[in-house]
Amino acid sequence: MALPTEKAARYDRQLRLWGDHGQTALESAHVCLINASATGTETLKNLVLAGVGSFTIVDSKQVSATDLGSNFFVLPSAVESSRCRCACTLLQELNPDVRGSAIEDSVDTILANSPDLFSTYTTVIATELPDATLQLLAKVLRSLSVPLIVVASYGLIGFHQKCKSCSDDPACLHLTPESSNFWVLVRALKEFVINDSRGKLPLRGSIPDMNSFSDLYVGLQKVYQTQARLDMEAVATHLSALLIGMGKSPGTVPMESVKQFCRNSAFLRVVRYRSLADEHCKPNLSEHLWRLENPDSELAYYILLRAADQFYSMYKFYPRGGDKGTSMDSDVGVMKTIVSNLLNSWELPPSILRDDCIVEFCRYGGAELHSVAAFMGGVASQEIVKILTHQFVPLNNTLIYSAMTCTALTVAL
Amino acid sequence: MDGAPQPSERWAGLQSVLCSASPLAHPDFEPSEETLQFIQDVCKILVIGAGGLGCELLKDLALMGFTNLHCIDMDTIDLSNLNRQFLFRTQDIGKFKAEVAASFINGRITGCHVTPHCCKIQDLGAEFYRQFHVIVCGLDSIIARRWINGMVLGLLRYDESGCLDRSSIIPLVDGGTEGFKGNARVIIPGLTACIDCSLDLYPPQVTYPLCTIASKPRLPEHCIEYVKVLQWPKEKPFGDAAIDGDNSDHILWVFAKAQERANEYGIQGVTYRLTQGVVKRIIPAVASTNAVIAGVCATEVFKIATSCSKPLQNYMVFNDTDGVYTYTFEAEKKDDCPACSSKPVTLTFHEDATLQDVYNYLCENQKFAMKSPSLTTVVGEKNKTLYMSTLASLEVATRPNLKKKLSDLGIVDGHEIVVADVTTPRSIAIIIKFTYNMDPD
Repeated sequence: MALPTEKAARYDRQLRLWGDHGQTALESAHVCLINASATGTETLKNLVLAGVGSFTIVDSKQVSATDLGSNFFVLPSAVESSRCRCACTLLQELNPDVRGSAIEDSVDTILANSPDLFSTYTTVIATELPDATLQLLAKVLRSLSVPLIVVASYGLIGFHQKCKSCSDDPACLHLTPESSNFWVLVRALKEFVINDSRGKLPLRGSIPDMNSFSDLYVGLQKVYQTQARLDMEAVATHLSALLIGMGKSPGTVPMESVKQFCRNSAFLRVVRYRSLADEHCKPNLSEHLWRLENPDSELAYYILLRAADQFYSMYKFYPRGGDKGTSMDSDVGVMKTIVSNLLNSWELPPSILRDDCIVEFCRYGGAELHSVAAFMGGVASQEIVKILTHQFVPLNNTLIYSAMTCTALTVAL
Repeated sequence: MDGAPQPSERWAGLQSVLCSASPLAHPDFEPSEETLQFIQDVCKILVIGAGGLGCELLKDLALMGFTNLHCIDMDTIDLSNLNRQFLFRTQDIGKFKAEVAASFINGRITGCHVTPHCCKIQDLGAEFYRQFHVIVCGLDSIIARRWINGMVLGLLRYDESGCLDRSSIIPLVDGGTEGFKGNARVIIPGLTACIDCSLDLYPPQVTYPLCTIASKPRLPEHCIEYVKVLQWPKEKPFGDAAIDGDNSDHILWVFAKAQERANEYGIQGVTYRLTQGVVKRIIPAVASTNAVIAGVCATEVFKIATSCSKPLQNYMVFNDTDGVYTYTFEAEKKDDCPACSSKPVTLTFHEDATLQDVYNYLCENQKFAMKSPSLTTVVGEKNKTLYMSTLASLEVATRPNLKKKLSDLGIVDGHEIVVADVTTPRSIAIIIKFTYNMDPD
């Protein structure tokens, strides 16, 4: 027998987690990173190491002195030259199988002139984008059905958000030629459950380990495997009929996919995400307000990050992140006003946020701290792997990490 | 403007945190520009391990301003490391991890100096470990963790009245990962729970019962283990060579034989990958989990070194299989922990107990969980070696003692026995108490 290939040897430790089929899905993906910030490059690094097919970095900025103090993928020799080109070269070095490219342009320009560029990407990761640009990008990506991952580090706080559209109707009753294989399979499963198995899902085929004599155990296992195969064939029959009805060939969905689908039918999850526009306009905070009673609550920092966006759009720098002219007191004062107005606009009590958090937040000057960027890069990259491989369960839809308490809060906002 | 980046600009992010007061900072924190200077000019950090966690830790610490880093790792680079140990390239395969990692960081991060040590942690002594302000571990073995734990505990100094000299404390930050799971903890030796205080947090290693392996296999793993444990020593396919999980010829042989056995029993699922996984007890690993846990550990080192924020108190678990799950709790310091409680532990045995009973207890009891302890004592003002497990000649000479009753070896009620083992760099003192007509502890 042939030894495992060099690639299988290289990826051995992760193949044991998401299998060859997961790896194939990763290798056919093209990921786009907007802005080669510390958080952005840390996210992309983990995907490159994992063998993502290709990546593109879009960034109009040049490497600055501050980048040298937080970003692993820039060099002193690249200061004042293109940040994305430098990062692209250094990231590509991590894995010869991965193809990387750099687009030295601003997202605003691309959105204005050639938004369809984004349709070539499997996922887009956005960092360091001002609110207005992010909103526009989110709208375009939603229309193209390209998942958007937002990730940021701000001092001791990390932020991650997912926006993914599900253009298919919840009722898989209305299958169209555009329906994805997933929904056709779900429909076939439904037909099987209603018509063939009296309400039961197809058998998985495996049984748990238990104390037994070998022949009894193997015999029992074979009974389950045989029935699982029959169930799968029944599902496949329904699938063929559906595909033919849609004007497609029965071979559109490979047998291996049908097998995987049936084996995992008990664990299927559909995760639906709100649009960024909806979340920004009226985040689902009211049901989470009780968290703010805890002085260490991560949720406070979500509100502060949104307030910081507004501060930035007014001053073009973050609180205490400008030149030394602005004092802590004055920036804290401005932030307090913004927070108050923001909470008002969301119809929430304006004084639920403690002053302590505002002062702590202003301490960071809007800067990325590398260890926090590394943490967020780890979290965001794994969330992307989940989306690309369709395995494991992605979080829905916002994560706020506090490096002060070493805790991460997930909320659906 | 000469184009060279100003140092102050480079570290503006760190300075922002270190020079601003905050009601949520550590109570001891004082904003000052000198804190960054301390990190860069004085502070010395030891990173144990240059693998999945180690590479991430070195990068993180270098970019959090630390310039004096040391790194210990005895391993060389393997192809399967490259999916996450990002300081290494294919041309580095076979070289020492610590050396290549140090060289990469020194080249990439101006001003940072990593000193590599390509050896076992046990090869270095107290004088070496004493020089560090914080020690951070990215290890893959519980024994090694317990060893370094014992080392930092051994460096603690107490004054005459038994008060801990705080300047002798070296905080230990420890991280571990496995697939999509990870954990990070902060240990302040002498004050908070140590590694041994919470040994029950570590899941037991996977083992397969021998009767299943030998005669009642059900899973492909059983077939592979059979070949590894029973067939290989019997058939000696490569002479006297022990099985080497990295030798593809060895694995191919085990794979073929395992498949034969599986076919006998109608068992499916033996693959090359599974075979290697069982033989090497491979733990799956991916870059993202290592990035997360190392990020937490590096943040804690920064917080401890600067007091800019309160440290983790004191154990965090992480799992991103289903969404992202984190949980933080305070592991309790046990006042009868054999490693960190200053008083010798008293163990009670039946008056007729043998030395073997004591040996077995030290190995099997979860609090001690020793591997192969050696026991010595003092009888009538003379040192007496009761059982020496580590030196072959002495082991043979002292083996008969195991069968003897403690009383026959001169051990009386309240007698102190000194125990040494690979799980700790220092010996542990235990006091033997006898009971009558009762089972041992």
